[in-house]
Amino acid sequence: MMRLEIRYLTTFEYPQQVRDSHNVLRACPTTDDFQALLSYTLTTDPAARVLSHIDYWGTRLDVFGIRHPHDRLSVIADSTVETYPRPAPEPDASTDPYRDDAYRTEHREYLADSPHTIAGSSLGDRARQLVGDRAQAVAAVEALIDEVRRLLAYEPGTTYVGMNLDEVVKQGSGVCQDFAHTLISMARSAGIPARYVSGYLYAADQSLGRPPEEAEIEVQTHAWAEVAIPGWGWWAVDPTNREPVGEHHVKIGHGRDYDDVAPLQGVYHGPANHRLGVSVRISREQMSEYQSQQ
Amino acid sequence: MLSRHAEDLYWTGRYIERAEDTARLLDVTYHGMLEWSDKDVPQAQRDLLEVLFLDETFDGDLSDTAAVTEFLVLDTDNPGSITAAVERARLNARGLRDRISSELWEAINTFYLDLRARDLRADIERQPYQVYRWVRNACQTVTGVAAETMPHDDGYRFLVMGRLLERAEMTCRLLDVRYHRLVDSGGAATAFNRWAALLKSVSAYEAYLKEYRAAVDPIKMLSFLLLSPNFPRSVRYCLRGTEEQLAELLEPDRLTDAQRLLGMVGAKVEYCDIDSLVNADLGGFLDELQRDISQVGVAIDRHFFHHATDLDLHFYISR
Repeated sequence: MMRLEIRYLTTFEYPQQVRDSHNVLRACPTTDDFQALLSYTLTTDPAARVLSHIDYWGTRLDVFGIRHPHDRLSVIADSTVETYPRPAPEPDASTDPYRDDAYRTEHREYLADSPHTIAGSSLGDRARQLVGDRAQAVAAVEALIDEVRRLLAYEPGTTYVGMNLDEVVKQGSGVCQDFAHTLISMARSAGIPARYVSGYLYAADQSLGRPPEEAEIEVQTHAWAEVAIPGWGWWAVDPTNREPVGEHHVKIGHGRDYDDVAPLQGVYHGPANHRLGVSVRISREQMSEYQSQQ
Repeated sequence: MLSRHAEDLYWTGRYIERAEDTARLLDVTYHGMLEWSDKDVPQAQRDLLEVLFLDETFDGDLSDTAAVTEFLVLDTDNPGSITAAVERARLNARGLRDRISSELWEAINTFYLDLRARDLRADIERQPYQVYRWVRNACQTVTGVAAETMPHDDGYRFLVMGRLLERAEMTCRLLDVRYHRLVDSGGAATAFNRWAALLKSVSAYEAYLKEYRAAVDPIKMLSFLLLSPNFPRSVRYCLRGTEEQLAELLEPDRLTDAQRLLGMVGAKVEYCDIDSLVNADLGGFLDELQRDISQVGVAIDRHFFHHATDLDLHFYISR
């Protein structure tokens, strides 16, 4: 078990006064079988009244607006979360249900194309070829993950939100979102339900994904994917690095793609050229021998 | 009120005024042509299009009166046509139905529906005078209904302001284009008719006669259309009217760009020396006036509707 303290901080700096800013934040870790949220505090400056609710996908949304003119906005979301090890998926789970109508209907929303996962036919052809007539779902997904890692190199700053997936693949580099979208796109083309996960990764280097040596690290938000393994459930996989998804992954929420779980989005009245700084600081809480056995 | 509502009201005012002024110009050109020789026709049509700033948009034959008329009345691809202006005014009004009186909406909508129900092409062929008078009446109905059924609050002020600014520009354009031709045209009888036509196109003929009797004197006429303090289509009247509406809309102790520009162009008109202008560069003066007035429009747009060109609603999404 790991206990992590996460500080998500976003700062907007505007060259002149802006007003009527309305924002939606998705930065609160979810609680599920593998993690538990212990505390969550949201602070904005200028102060704003925050309305929170759980959206259709199960993610907590914090909605807040600042009407009066301001030239700076900072959003700080502090959370403490406990994470637990995850079991490996059932290796013998069959791929047959992927072709079953009832199974497909049940997972329909994670099989259909979504804006960020639309790609030309070549990526889909490659995925179908790789999955082929494999009988084991886990092996099929692993083949796809290997292909994503072959197609893309981890290189921050080479892509932007909303870039066409074919362009990303053609360019051959990207960040975690691109890895996740590519995997999801390929899985769906091969008939495997897949969804996008937004979260935090307790690793100094996202492309390596190993827990850090220092206690506190500064990172970006992370993204990975979950694929449906028949008869077992959603299997979280991180195509960006070679580490299995585990205690150092903190999930915020999932959706069809980036748009459903974008960490912070909004509108404001003012000049277009704002400066946006996002940082995520994660530190591991030291626990006594007794606590960690609980 | 929301700035987009204010903007829609302002443009409704402008569109209706544009439709009315276009009908007036067409009417007076049509009647003028009855007295002119055929060789004057292309020039008269060019003048007409120039006043409306549409001389470059129109690519047909200038000697084809019907083509020019259809372009100005029917052509929905021409944003300056009567039909297009009424359509846009109606579109704005439809979005404003909870802001304007239902009578005003009905007046605009009826105007639009009647316009569509008519066989305008046949009507302007057979009885153009009747069509123009009908358009003018419909526009004045809209204006009158607005004045009598809406509270004279901020929304109404935007409507009035749009109308007055459009009209001020239109009168300037009219003078700018017509004045040269009139001064050059010589022959007393033709000249008289053309002067009278100019006055009639802005319904100023009778008002002018009351003020100056039968002396159709270019300088007096020019000063009447520019300077009359109480004739509602004179440039001065429109500018002062806009200024009054602005003063009511804004706080008294701070001067906005729009007010500053308006004060300057107002003073330019009021203190101009018409006699020496006529002998010097009247055309340049009128051009400048038009530019200034359109700058007032830009300043109003910026102050009320689009604070600054780059100050807009922006969507952002963080990575």
